Amino acid sequence: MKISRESARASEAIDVRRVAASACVLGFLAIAACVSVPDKDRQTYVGPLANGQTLAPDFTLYKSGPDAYLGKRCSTLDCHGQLGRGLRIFSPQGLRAFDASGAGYFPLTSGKDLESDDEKRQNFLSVVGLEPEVMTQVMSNGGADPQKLLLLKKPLLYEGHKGGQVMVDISDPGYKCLASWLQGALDQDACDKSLLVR
Amino acid sequence: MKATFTLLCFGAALLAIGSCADPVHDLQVKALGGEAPNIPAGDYHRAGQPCTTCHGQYGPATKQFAIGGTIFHGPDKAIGEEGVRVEMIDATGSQRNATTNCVGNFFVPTSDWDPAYPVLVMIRKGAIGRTMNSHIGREGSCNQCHKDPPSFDSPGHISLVPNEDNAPPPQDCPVSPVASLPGAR
Repeated sequence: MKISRESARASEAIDVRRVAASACVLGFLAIAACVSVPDKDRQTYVGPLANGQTLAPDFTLYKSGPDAYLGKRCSTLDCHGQLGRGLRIFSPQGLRAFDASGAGYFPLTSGKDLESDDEKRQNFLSVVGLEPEVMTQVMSNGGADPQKLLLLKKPLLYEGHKGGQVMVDISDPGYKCLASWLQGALDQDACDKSLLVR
Repeated sequence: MKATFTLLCFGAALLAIGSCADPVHDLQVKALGGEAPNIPAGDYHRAGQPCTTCHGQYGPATKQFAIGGTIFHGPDKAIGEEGVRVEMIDATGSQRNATTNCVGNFFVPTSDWDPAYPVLVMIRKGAIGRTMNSHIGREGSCNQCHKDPPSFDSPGHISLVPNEDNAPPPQDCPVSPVASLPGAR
């Protein structure tokens, strides 16, 4: 009788192991079924469009207005003028750029030297590279819906922003300056006005 | 059973205490070092250091400051300037003024003002007035950004006059009005 009970327990244990093993195999199969098969015909295109246009915002326009606005409004040393920020902005009154092309040091002093072309270029890359995919989406649509970008969502407080609400609404000169830049037709008047707001 | 329960309670209490500690903030406080000799903790201490590291919401100082800093006379020497009026206005238009003591220190307690950033600042003494070129984005310690020497991430300490002169240091100050700032010339 005792032997029979032990035999039954051993048999139950084996059943449990079999069920567990089967569940594991099924789980793996389910996960494997979700993995997509590489599509050799699917490609990400980076470069100018067929009509010669690029999906990147214009750097020359950026230098004419948005850079000064972001420098004045966002780049203080206690906000985006810090190396660790996702959106890091160099400016004459704030953080200065590392000179990667030269001797490899910080040649400019905060509050003293004018903004260099290299700093403007690095600011441009910081802005454009903040959300590369979303930026590409927005630009592929001619900049028609710039509010998709964190660059504008945060200052409008559509999304949490530690620095609070920077732009009152889409009539704010700063918003008009950045949005018009993305749309390829810079509103210079708005950019100039955005610098008057303290 | 009772022993297990006691152990669990003890463990939970330890976890709760441990979760309140902020090692980053602790290191920032420690990095400031001890008090300078002959300058006890008080209104005259630690001129040029970032006030709200200790006088912020995480302590360890009991008095919490909204904004605090140090104004020196010139840009090169770290000699405190007494009687400078620091005029501040926040994003809602709310204004506060503070006046520096003989080592150049000033502060506004949070019990007196809770500014909505950004804040604009101007300093004034007699006929001399200087306006901060940029705004304060969120940092309550002026000396967090205004540290010596001037470099890629700091315009240097705040000074009343833009060029150094030989003005005598404040008299009758209970402590030395000359701060010992690393990097000050």
